[in-house]
Amino acid sequence: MQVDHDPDTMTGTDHDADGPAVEMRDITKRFGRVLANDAVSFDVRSGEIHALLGENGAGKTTLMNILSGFLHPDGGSIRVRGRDVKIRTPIDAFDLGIGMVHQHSALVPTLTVAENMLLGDRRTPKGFLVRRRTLAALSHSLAAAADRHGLEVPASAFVWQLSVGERQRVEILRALHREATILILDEPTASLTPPEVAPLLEKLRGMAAAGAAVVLITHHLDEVMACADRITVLRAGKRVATTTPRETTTRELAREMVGRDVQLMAVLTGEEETATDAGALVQIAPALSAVGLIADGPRGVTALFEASFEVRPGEIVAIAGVEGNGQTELEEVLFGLRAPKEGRVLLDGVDVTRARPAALMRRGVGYVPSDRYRRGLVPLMSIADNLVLDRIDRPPYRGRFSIRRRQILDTARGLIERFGIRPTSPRERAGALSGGNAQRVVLARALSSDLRVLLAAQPSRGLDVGAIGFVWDRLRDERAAGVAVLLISTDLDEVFALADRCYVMYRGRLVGPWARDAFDREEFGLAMGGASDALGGPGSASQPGTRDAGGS
Amino acid sequence: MAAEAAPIDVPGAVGGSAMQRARGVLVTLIAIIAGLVVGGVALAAAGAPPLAAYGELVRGAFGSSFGVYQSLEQAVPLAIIGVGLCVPFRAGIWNIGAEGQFYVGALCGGLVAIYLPIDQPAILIPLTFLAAMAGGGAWAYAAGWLRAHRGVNEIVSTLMMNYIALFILLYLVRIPFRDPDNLIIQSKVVPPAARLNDIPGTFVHGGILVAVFLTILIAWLLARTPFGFHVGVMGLNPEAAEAAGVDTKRMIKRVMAISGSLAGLAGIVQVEAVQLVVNGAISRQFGFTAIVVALLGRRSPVGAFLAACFLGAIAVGGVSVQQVYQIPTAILLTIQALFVFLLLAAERLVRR
Amino acid sequence: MDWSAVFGAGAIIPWLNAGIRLAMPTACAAAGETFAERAGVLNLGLEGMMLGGALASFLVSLDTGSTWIGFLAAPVVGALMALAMGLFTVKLKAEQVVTGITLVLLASSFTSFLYQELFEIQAAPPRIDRLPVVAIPILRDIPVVGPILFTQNVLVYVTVALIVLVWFLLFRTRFGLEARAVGESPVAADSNGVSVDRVRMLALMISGAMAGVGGGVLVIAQLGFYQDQVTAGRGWIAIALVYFSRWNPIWALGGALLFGVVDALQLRIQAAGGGFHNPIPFEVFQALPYLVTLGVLILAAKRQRRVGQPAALGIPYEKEAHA
Repeated sequence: MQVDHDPDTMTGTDHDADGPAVEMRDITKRFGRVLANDAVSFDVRSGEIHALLGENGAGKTTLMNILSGFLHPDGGSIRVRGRDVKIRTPIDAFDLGIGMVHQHSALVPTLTVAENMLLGDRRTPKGFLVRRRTLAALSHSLAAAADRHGLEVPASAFVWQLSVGERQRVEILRALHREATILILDEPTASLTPPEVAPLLEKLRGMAAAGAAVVLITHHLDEVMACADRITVLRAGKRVATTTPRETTTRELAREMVGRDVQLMAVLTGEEETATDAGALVQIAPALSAVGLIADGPRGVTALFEASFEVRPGEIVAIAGVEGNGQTELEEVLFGLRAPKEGRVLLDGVDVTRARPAALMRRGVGYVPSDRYRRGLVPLMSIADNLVLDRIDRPPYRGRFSIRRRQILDTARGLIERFGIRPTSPRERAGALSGGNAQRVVLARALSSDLRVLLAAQPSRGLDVGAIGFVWDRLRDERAAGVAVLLISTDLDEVFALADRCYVMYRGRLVGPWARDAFDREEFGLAMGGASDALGGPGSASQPGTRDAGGS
Repeated sequence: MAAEAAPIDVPGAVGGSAMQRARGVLVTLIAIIAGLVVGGVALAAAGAPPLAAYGELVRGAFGSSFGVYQSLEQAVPLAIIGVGLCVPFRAGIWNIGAEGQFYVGALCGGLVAIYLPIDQPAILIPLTFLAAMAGGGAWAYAAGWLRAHRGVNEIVSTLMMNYIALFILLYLVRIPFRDPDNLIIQSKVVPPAARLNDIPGTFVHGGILVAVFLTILIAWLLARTPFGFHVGVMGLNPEAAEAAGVDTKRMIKRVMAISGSLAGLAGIVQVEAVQLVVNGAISRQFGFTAIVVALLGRRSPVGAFLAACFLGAIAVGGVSVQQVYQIPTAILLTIQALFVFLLLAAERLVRR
Repeated sequence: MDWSAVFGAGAIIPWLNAGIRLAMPTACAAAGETFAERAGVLNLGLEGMMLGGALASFLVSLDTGSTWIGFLAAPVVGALMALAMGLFTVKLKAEQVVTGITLVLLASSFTSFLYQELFEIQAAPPRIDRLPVVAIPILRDIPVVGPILFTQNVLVYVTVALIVLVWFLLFRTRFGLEARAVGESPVAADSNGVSVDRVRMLALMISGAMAGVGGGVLVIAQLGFYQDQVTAGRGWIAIALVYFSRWNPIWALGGALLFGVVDALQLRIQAAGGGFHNPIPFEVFQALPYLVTLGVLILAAKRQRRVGQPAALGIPYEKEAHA
């Protein structure tokens, strides 16, 4: 059984040395009513980094899922190295040398790195014996390959023990291990701390220089300008532009991504106005405070470690940090969905640590959950039902004993209009809504009562720019109305656009707070990666961030 | 155990469109037709010509007023239990313990009926009902508590409790509460004051009224009250229910208690209307067949009631079929279960 | 009541020996179910598949006159039933719980029907040859352990071997690796070219075959005859065991052995006259396996808090749009 091979050989046999490595023509893909890809043509050459740019929902991931064999196109053709091919399964894609590093990890958490490598590896026969020897040999060759590429990967660790950055490295390594010559990376920097971004882009440049064809899916304009050779912009399923960094500017790219709406563009390029009079908020008593929260996450690992913070009425306090550092547990503890082992949560000074969601809602706590389809909505129920989910047992939605349908529908129609939810029929199933509209429903429900505190966790994740702008406006409105807003976000752009003060979360510990005028991306970046001085621990010395300070 | 997305059609207070309702009906129709076809094949295989056998079935069940009454009587326990099961099933809680809850209810109610020295049926019977509901409800509540607070899988726990309930009943009627004047191992006979007699002018006992009343009550509960709404939400997405303020632990216990009390009620009704004693033979797998009833009725009380009548008719007509064509009744049970499979398939196929 | 007949020195060894024999049907079903659940399929039709295997092996044994051939029929029937279930749950993505329960109802009534068709209500059902007890030379002479472990019906050894095979398949082959991946994270497995549906179907069929074997062992090695509803809830106990054993087939075997021993004990107590003229009624002993299962379930749930359960258990896998 073969185990040793040289992942450095990245150039495959080129039938057509001058032509593109991959040519996708007129690819069309439908999901129900939605046309995710509308006759999109796209090609990549060996030795180049071709960035696929577009906002959330533009169709970038769909297109690449088709190339990597995960989805089938409804129309169009694909050529790899000059030959027409049909990619029916991910294995076909592997055989063609196509490797994809997914945005949401395609690794099985309860298996080790080496075991994950074996999945789908056609070189080891199916029935066959995964003896310790096999895994050891595999680990060995992995370690060697990792060394060669400068990717640190602990081969015998379980994936659930790895950080997000480490998991990504594993996936890249796996693609190389399978001798991928066409590498697709889907939003690779989304879960990285700012200091980790530049080194990754460097590695990609190195791979391209060694002959690989690299597709970089992203919505970050600065990354694209920094490292892409060519840029293709998708908007609403169509290809709207293909250009090079030299021939364009971030403003132009932003315009292509969202059309002509200037305000939307500003959201993207970070030119949003962030008027706030946070300075006026001096010593008002906090509406929400957390004191020394300690909580466990899955598998009994401590997820929150003495987290303490305060939010005052009329301010937006952000908790920034890379996904997986305890944010989910924090939002659950704050909303009564998870009991902390120690510590307290105080609402206007009253201890509400053990209070359940219903009690918190009655006291004016609103919640926009990070997982909107799991916690926020019931997809099989109608929009109207979802809008009254938390209050159907209260008048006016109930009479003496039974539910008042007309009231529900009236309220629903009103909220649909106020929050711009489309489609506009209250009877439509919530599951049919796009991400942006689904979030509008969640917001509508959370914001339509009298709030004292609002917990907004990843409120604009996965949304198109229009929806992002909408969400940000609503949060600002709440702040202006005197609500204490806690914003948990992995997106620094969002933090910079909205927050008055900011903490950073790393492995369950909070660092900060920084006041607005002291916001600094580099410092945040270091803190997100655990290297902040404020933590006082032996942080790893990350390279200083090289993200552009302006325009991002 | 992970909660599954329960494909209840038209969930929620403001339900879906007429289109969606129509689809639901279509599914049921397809299933029924397919079921009849498959059942016909099965009958033929067992040596009975299908059309004639079906004819005999219908004649036996509906051909005479007696047949109709019999069908209804057969349907009563299935309907009461089945309607009760709609509640936890909709919440995604799989109460497989209706059989045991039936026994406990029959036991509690029966003992009250036999030993409470009250003569007026108007007082005694309701008391026996209450006792039965309390017993069955508590038996189910225990399993619900275990699920809510200890995460114990309710399918296996309720199943085990079925067996345990049966053994408790068998012991109690063998020794402490045994009828000393009888050779058969059973309790004393239920006194006349506690018997459910036939509705005047008919040959069907009062239990049918109980069944109808409960069907309406539970249907209203599920469709029109906040409680019913929350039950539906829990079944579809328990995490969203939690985040919306529903106390899922309390809900689990409540839905179990409700369905257990109805199963217990079915038990005492059966004892007071048909068996007139408490022994090990009071149930003919009612608890399990009621699961089929609830599923055939697509977890809706009215559907469950109709399904119970349907199965009751099959049971009665089946006796004729058996006599005429000499095939065992078990084949009819088989066809029943087949119906559910076909319903499942139809549901998934229509969805595509 | 003659307690020494149960607990006396001469009684312990036969008791434990019987315990092992009684444990095998449940152990088999539990091991197979472990495989299925690890792949994310909750097979609640286990009881039905055991019944199917039991009846099939009985009928085929009678028909062909050879108990070995009858035994071979058991996994075939079990696997076919699992195939049917798989069509619904894996291909059509129907709910696993509902399908499983309905399958049990179907199997329960159909085996009843078939048995009555073929044998009519007889006082004593026909008996089949039980296959020999094999005492393994040398090993059987080890004091204490020998007579207990190594003097068993040949089918006991066969089933133990099968259980070890299942363990091996699950933890030492690539197929088992894929099965575990599919049960934890079907999306990740799918992205790597693993056919989730195919793996789940196969895992389900393995559990069906093992359940069938369990039924066959029950009828052939333990009883020597078949009766209506002969499995008496063993399939459900097997499911409880899977939770208790943290989804490991070898631990499931251990749990089943515990049960077998308890079961053997209660039979012996009843046989020795316990229960009739004795303060403890015999119904208590009859209920013992179920009570113990319940107790075990409660303890296991308390201990594990659902850690260790395959993450995708019970959830049908449908490819979603990843736009």
